[in-house]
Amino acid sequence: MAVQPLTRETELPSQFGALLAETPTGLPGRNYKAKQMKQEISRFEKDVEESEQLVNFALVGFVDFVRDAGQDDDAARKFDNWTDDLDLAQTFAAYEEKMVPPLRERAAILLRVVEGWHRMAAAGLIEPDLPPQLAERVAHLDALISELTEEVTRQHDNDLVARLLMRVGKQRQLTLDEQFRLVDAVSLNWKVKEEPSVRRADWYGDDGR
Amino acid sequence: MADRVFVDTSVLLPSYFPELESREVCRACLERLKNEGVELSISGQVIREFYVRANNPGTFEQATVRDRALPLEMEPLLRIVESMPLFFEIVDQPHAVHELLPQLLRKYEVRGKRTHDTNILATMLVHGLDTICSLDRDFENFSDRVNILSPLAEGARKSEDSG
Repeated sequence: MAVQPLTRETELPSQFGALLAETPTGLPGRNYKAKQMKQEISRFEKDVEESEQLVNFALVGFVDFVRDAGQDDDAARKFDNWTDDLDLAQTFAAYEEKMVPPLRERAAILLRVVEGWHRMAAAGLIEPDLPPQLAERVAHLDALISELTEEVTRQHDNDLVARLLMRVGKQRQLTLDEQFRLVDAVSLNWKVKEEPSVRRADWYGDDGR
Repeated sequence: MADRVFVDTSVLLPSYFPELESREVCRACLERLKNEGVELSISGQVIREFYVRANNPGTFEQATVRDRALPLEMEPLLRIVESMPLFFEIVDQPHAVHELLPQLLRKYEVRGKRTHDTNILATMLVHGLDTICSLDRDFENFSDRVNILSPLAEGARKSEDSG
């Protein structure tokens, strides 16, 4: 593919466009541009790292909260009060809205930085190789986002269904469909290290434990 | 078909862990029985064995942080255990089981670890259960007292029929 010459008219991601516009004498110099790019990357990397920590913290905290509510009456009452104050569905929506999109947005910015880096490099303005740390970060972040989005949704559904059906089951007999839904909701997708033996005799030690 | 079937730990475990090899056949078997109106029973021994097997770090992969393995999560397992009475009938171990156990151990000349299988048999007989759904072929030793329903054999038959 032919290298596209970089000019004032070249369409660049917005933050690079802004950088160019700020430069009164046309394209910024090689060193100036490289320095700016590095500063941008460093800032975004920090943002992304903070977002990841925030999302992980909130995810663990929230799931624990839902779990606790299933454990004892006091926690369940608190959970009920909380859900009364703020509709449960809305809360979940808000949770996802607050936590996941900022991470996704930051990732998109980071990817635009990378794209910009490649285009600058193609135009011979900066070093061509993406810093290894940044390349690694981009791949990791991409995987993390799709995993988180999927996990958050699945975890929400299963926690809610399990909690609801266990509560209903204390008041009346669950229907067959509900019973199977409950089994599915509490089932665990843990990765298998080694298939366990089907023989009971293999599970116990000689001392009977 | 019996109207009540005892479900062994070897079938119970894969029913809650989709990644285990025998999950499909075990789940299909329990689903068929339930749909036919069969009551599925388990005992305290089976629940304890389930928890021990599921907690075993040799069975499931543990998450790691900086190359250090984290213990398997307890709460999701306890949630499974707590949900079991909503799917299974839980049969207890009354004194009659303790009385029957030595008679069965004598009759089948059981020594060592197979005592645990024999305790399952005693529990079943005391509760009037004559069919066990199990992958453990050791129960064939008690085939004069109980019928063995193997999800694997059932799955194989189903494949042949559809083939």
